[in-house]
Amino acid sequence: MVHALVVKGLSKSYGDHVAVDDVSFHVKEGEIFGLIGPNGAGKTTTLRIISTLLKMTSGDITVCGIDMRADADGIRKCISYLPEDAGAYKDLTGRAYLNFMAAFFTTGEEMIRMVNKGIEISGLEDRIDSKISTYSKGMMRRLLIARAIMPDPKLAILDEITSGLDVVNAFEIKDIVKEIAKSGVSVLLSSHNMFEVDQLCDRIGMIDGGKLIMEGAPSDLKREYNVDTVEELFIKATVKK
Amino acid sequence: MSHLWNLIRKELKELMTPASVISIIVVAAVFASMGTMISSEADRVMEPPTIGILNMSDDNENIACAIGYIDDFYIRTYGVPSGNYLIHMNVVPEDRYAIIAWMQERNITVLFAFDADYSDNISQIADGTGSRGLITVYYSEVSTGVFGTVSTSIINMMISHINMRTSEAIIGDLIGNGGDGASNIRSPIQVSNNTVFGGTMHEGLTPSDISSALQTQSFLMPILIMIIITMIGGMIISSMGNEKENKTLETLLTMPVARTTIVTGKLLGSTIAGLAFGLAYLVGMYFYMDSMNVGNMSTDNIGLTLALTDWGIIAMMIFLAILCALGMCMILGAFVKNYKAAQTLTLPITVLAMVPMFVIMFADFNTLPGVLQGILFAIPFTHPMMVMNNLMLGNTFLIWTGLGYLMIFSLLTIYLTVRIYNSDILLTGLIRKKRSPPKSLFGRSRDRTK
Repeated sequence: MVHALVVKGLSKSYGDHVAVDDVSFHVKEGEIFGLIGPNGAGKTTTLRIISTLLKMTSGDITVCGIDMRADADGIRKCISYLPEDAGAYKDLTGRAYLNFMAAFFTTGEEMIRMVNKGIEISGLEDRIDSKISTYSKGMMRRLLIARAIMPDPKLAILDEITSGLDVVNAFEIKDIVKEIAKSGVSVLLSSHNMFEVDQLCDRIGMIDGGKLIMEGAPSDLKREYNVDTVEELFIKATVKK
Repeated sequence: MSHLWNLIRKELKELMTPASVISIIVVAAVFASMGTMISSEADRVMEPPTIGILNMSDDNENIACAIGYIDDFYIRTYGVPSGNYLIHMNVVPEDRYAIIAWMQERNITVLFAFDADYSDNISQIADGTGSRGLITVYYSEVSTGVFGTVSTSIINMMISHINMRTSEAIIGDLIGNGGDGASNIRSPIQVSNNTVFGGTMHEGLTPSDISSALQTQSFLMPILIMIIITMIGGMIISSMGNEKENKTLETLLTMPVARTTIVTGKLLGSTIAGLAFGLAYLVGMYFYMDSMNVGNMSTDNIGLTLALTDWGIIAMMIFLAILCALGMCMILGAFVKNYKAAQTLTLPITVLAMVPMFVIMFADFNTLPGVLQGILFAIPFTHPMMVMNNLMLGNTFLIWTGLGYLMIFSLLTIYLTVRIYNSDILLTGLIRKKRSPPKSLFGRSRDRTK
């Protein structure tokens, strides 16, 4: 079986500083995999490398069977990356933004279908024709999730998708992510909200100081460490280590 | 729709917002309307003036001569006789305020009052017994603007002409030769100006004449290029700052499109916006600068004209200069973290545009010291600033080397920009070599286990 993502021995250094240190994990098709850890642990760097934004110092990454070193352009065709606290072009309307992004993937009728799908995912209805500068943070995030999902990526990479959102908006966004995974899209997300990943993720990887310190299904890991929450699991695992 | 066109359209939409377009059109319109106002004022000044004539003398012989000289001046200067422009005050005024009141009633701004002894005095000069004839000039409600000095100059020129012709008439009476003889005695030296400029001999012209003819080009192009470069440079750096702050650049870089296409799209979109804004400014500035050129010689007068191919070279140079500026801005923008930080990074571009502007406006590149020439040549914005004058004067070496330099410079900046877009620097900035490791939330826990 071809995994959506395979990361082997991934390292990233900036001079003497090692940001990501020999990290290995994989994401299965249709699976939600969560990378958790504190600020500066190396989560975003890992996601940026997988998204082809940063170059790895060593290791191997394969997305949908495509080797990153050999064909980074090919990988960009089957992933969607949503950065933490991302925004959009504020002078465009929501529809114009989706049109702009869809034009990188397809043309003609197929593009119209893709944009309509995006509008549906965003749930923005009439507001899709308003300028993005008038959107609330929740509306903006729904638009960006829609942008990330509408081209039917094989792997969606979502960095801190609910950070800064209120309870209602965060709940809606999490629902969208669950729906994405049900439709067969693999999701790699990062968060330092451990309650959120406990709810959302099929499997998690804990990262700290650039190293992956554990990996597995939340329920299995909680059982193994005899704890009730992922948060407790993290503390216990770290102390044990 | 091609990816490149998609990116260019997005860039144009971002840069040419209603707010930015309106503000640029307003500025251009303000310049143009200022020019139109100045032109109409200048045209008014250049029309034959209506002059009041007051004769307080009983003997009209020499006054009739003076009026004849005025007529001669009108024909030489305006091509029309003075008949319709001279209004005689036929009543004897009680005092000078009565003269002013008479002028104001008739909307006359200048009046020549010939003194009661004017004619007698002029007649007696040849005998050596008379004093000089007195003409009192009254000005009423004259313009205090720039062109007020022009109207005064014209009146002074008219008085000088009367003076010269009266003097020649007196000399003619004395020597018994009223023709060239009197004129030669009065001005025994004849001057013939010849100025070599741009390798060509210009007969009958002084450097001042040539300088005034090139005034529009010398001022317009440097100002225009400086405005375009600083404006579009600021826009692109701010746009980069916005893209980084909103992380739209990160998103864009993960799209299935080549980095070269992204860079090219950004550059071309910004260049088109820059050219459009530049054209708006050009029209406005042209009207403004042209109106300031009243009375000066035009480039056509001295045989300096531009062919269609010359305009093509000018357009190419402006295009390349904008491309160089944008390339530099995108390189600088790569190190910007947010919109606020972007504002400070426009300074280097502004300085690079202002230095050649001031030098080219007030000095001739060819007469500058070698070091300064080298520095100016290295600044890409210098070349479009002086291209118009270089084309007119046939400085082909500077034109072609400048064009070649701009091409190399723009290609180099595009290459560097693409390299940066393909590197980590765009997202991480320049990272210092020595950096403490990130804090670990669990570092203290680990320590406790030791």
